[in-house]
Amino acid sequence: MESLIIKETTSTPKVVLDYRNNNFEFHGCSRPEDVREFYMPIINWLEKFRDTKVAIEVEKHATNPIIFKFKLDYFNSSSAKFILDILVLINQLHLNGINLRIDWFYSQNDEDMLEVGKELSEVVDFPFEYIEVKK
Amino acid sequence: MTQVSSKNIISFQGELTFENIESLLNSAKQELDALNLELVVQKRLYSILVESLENCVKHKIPIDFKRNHHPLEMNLQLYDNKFLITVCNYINQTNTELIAQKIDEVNSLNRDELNQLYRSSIAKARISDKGGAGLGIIEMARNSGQKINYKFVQEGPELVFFILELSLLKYTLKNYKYGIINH
Repeated sequence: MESLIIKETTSTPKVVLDYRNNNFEFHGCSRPEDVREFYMPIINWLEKFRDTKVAIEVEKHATNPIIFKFKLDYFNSSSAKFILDILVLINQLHLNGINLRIDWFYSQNDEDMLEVGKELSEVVDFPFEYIEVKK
Repeated sequence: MTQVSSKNIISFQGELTFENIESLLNSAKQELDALNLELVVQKRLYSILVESLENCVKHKIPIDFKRNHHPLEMNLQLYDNKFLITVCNYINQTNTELIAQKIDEVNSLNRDELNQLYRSSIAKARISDKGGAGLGIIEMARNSGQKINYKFVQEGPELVFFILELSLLKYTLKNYKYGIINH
């Protein structure tokens, strides 16, 4: 199974799903022109990661938990739906016995991004770690 | 008599496309940076602009502007302590009922109810053929914190000019997160 790496643009985030290096990251701004076209490969990758048991193999060899880092500056409402789908898939990995963590980054003074993280955590029923990024 | 000062921050008239939105948002970002706003206010304004403009592009219908129709337009203005965002575009008559229902619903909710609506809506959201999740109006209301104003102007048997007006206070209020506060 190949890693999935998507470069950042002004309207789409950088996505790194690199299980060989235990690097899972979403970074930047998300308001794609075609939200389905952008997010479906990510959803498909995570489903495959879950279903082909690669995650269990990764976990067996990992000394630390798998960390999914969300470092998003902004995402629009249709991206939010897909971000929730991604979080549901991550929670399923956790329910399958994978030791993992979700780190939700927010800029200092960006209380709304912190609130959105708490809200999504509640909807998906999985606790996040909240990390304030100082200016 | 109190004089209210106003400042045009962004004004746009013409065809709205994804590329135009990109350039409008970049200009808006630069203008807002120059105002030295609180980060939260700046990001809420940005979010309202994105959602309202994307809605226009997703639901726009082809218009022959030579036939004396209004131009599509977007304005961002600052009146003393309040931003006013106006977005106007053409929609099909058949969409007006659903839009009015959604706006009336969010306008009737308090902050907690609005947040609850968002949570239940995002959990069951499906992406439409036009790429929307049906969350745009709720998200605009949460970011605005004020009632949303709208008007439909009948321009033909099936053609309606839709005027959407949102506002946002220039300063955040203590303990104000998301939601309607100005009832």
